[in-house]
Amino acid sequence: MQDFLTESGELIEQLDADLVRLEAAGSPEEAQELCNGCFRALHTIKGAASFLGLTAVTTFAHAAEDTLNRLRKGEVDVTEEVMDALLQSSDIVKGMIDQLSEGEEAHEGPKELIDTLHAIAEGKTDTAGAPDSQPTGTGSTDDTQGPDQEANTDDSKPGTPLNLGPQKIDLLEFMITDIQDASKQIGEAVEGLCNDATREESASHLAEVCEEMEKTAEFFELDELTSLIKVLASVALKLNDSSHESIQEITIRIKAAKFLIDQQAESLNDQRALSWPLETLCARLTQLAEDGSIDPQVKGQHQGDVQALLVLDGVIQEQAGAASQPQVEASPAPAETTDALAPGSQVSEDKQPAKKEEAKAAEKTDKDTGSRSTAKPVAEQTIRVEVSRLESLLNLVGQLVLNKNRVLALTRNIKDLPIAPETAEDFSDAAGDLDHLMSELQVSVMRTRMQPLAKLFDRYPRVIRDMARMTDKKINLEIVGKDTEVDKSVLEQLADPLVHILRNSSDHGVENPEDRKAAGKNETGTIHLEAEHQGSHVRVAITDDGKGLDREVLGQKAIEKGLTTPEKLEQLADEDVFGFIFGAGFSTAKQVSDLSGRGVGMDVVRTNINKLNGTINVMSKKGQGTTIEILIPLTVAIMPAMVVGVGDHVYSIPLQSIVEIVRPEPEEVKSVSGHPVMRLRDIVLPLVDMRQRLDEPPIEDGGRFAVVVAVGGQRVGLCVDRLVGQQEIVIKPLDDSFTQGGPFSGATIQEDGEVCLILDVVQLIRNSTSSFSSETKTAA
Amino acid sequence: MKVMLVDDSKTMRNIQKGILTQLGYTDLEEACDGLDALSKVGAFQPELLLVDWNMPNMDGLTFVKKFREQGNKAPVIMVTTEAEKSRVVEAIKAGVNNYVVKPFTPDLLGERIKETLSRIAA
Repeated sequence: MQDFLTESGELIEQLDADLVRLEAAGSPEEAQELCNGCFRALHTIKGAASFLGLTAVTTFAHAAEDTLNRLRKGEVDVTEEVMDALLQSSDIVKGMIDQLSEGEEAHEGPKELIDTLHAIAEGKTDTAGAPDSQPTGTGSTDDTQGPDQEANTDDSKPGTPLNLGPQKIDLLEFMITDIQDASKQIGEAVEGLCNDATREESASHLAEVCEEMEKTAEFFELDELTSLIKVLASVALKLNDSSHESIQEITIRIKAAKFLIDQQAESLNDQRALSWPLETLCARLTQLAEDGSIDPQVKGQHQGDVQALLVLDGVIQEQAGAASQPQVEASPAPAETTDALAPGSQVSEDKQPAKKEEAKAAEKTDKDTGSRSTAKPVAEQTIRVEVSRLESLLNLVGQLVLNKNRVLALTRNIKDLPIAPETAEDFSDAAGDLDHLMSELQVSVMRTRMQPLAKLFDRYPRVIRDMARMTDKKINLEIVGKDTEVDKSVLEQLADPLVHILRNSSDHGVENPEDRKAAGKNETGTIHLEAEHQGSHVRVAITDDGKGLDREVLGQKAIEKGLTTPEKLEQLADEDVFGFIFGAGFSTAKQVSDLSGRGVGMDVVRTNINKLNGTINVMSKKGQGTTIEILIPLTVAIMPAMVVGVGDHVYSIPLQSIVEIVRPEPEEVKSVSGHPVMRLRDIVLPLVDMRQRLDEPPIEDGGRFAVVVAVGGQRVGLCVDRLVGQQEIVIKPLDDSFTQGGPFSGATIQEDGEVCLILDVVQLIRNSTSSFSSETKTAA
Repeated sequence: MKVMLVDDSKTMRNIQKGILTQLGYTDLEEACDGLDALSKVGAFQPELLLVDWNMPNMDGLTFVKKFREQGNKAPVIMVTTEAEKSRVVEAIKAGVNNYVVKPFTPDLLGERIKETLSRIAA
């Protein structure tokens, strides 16, 4: 039962996202794909629900499924009414599941909605007579695209596992996207090659992309790929002199190479390397580029089909003569790839959709099997674990790290004791291994807690859609960087604030279509949601192109509320004035709408972000839009840190924010409007005297260190007395009342059992730069 | 085996030198920034380079780009700080063969060197 609830919860979320995308889907193929996804989700829920005897859920899911089925067959158009009904039903199923998970019996769904769904499903029975009116998805897909999409079909994971050092595995994720990007660019370049006018440009572009990718492939020790790309690069350089005839032979082979690259990128996800017998392909490519000649026997044999070519050039093996079928249209591609790389998958099923005359019922089952296997490789193998178990695991690892630190400290001391040097050496060996293993254990445990922001972001298209519908606005939501991973706790705390901000942006920010038109903007407003890692922080920015904040109005309101005085207001920077919107009960909306305007939202935002030790910045230009930027530390509970000494105490600085450590000579330190700075290479670096900051009495000594820390683009040097060393620290959160005034983000326990405070770099930087800038402002 | 150390900090170079000597590499050359290194590679013909990222005059990334442009094939190990790690991708595209995050232990650096060289030998 618990399994059903979690699984359905996820499915519903997916369903929600897919439905919204479906509404916006451009091409029929895309819509078809999405429809299938939605249908599958509902079907799974229905199946499980009926198995568990949850009739309420079953009836409802069934009704929605019927409607979707019609939609899928193209018998019902995607209209707003239909989508409303479907989205509502997904909400209701979600509601039922929530009720069930709280141990209640699920309520019957509202009868009207079921009726509406049935009406949609049955209402247009007259059109059902023409089942062939809609193109059948698989059969009509373009050949060059077909294999790319279907390439996912091999779910038995071909290839050999990668044998790479951990530091390289670390970067693998980056590289996959990078390779995919490059592959996309190759695709574009190939299109350009076919056209004489753009050939030169495309060829040099291709060469460039290949050169970069070659190095990437080399770095990840993918020999096959490296040699393939090397050939591509050399071919690209010679393309200008090639004849029109040979260009065609070449481009098809480049396309084939691109296909192989895509496949490799795909299996990199599983940390596996693929290998193919590429000799013939490479040799033919080189030959073609050299003098444009090719064995007349193979010329044109591929019929412009990438799969056929791969077979022709001996890269993949021909299966049961299937590839020699001359019909280009039928796209027998998926079956071959599967077979060549992963023997034992279905040939017959996949080929069937190509035959258009096939009865509709048969086709349906086919598509189901087809799409299900497409989904499989994407879904990783997972097991569900209760969060509490992970938490306790993390806690234990934290304790272990502290203990390890103690062991290491003891090892250092043991050498001075009167014991046999061999024993001491053995001991330190063992301690070294322990250190090594612990750090790996830590990383693995931390990883289990990381989750992509997509979990949150995928819900927002729906939020925005509903907002837009209710306010009669046109809003487009752009999401960037939803793969950014953050700790689970961060993810949870971010959920509410982001919804509030998005609501605000769409309700108050983006104007009505008429107003937008009058202001000379595109009728459709855009909200841009972006996330990225920035040093040891995650930056989430929400940008709208709406009317922006009005300093005058905000200031007026702030004075009304007694938050500031007219005199003070003059002095405040724009950002500070905009900061008032986070005050409780602060709303400039003249009237409270259904959606927002009571002045609670932004207060929630601030509270939650503060809980995460994060910061919010508001930037706005009247008439042009607003950007709200959230910076949150990657609260990883264990991290490497530099331990430094100031006065009699020691403090930790997270290593992630440290750029370097320098030793400023006293004469290098200059003063700009009363603040110490030093020149570091070509920048002027503000210095923060930690003694002064931490209320230690000043002392006379020259041998001080400046720890250069950076957050975002800002750098400051923290002047400390001593450097103690690098250490793994376990962060214990500190209650706000203890850190009041102090720039601390937490505390940790040292090797010797003493408590050590962790310096909050963000706060230090903010304080130093803000006091710096405000004073320069007054000085000016 | 001729190894070149490119780092603006003398201390860092000394540390690396110590580690490399322990590992049995004694034919070493030092350079204090990218420009200095470029002027020395021709005469020294290094077979392995350890390059720091953050240096005055010419940073490590630019150096590697130039170095590769000149057609040099010798493997390069980039030495980065935790903060620069996310930019390693750029370095890879410039032609870096491996990287190591500062601060590192002698073992770790040794491992990276071994890894890199065995890869070249293969």
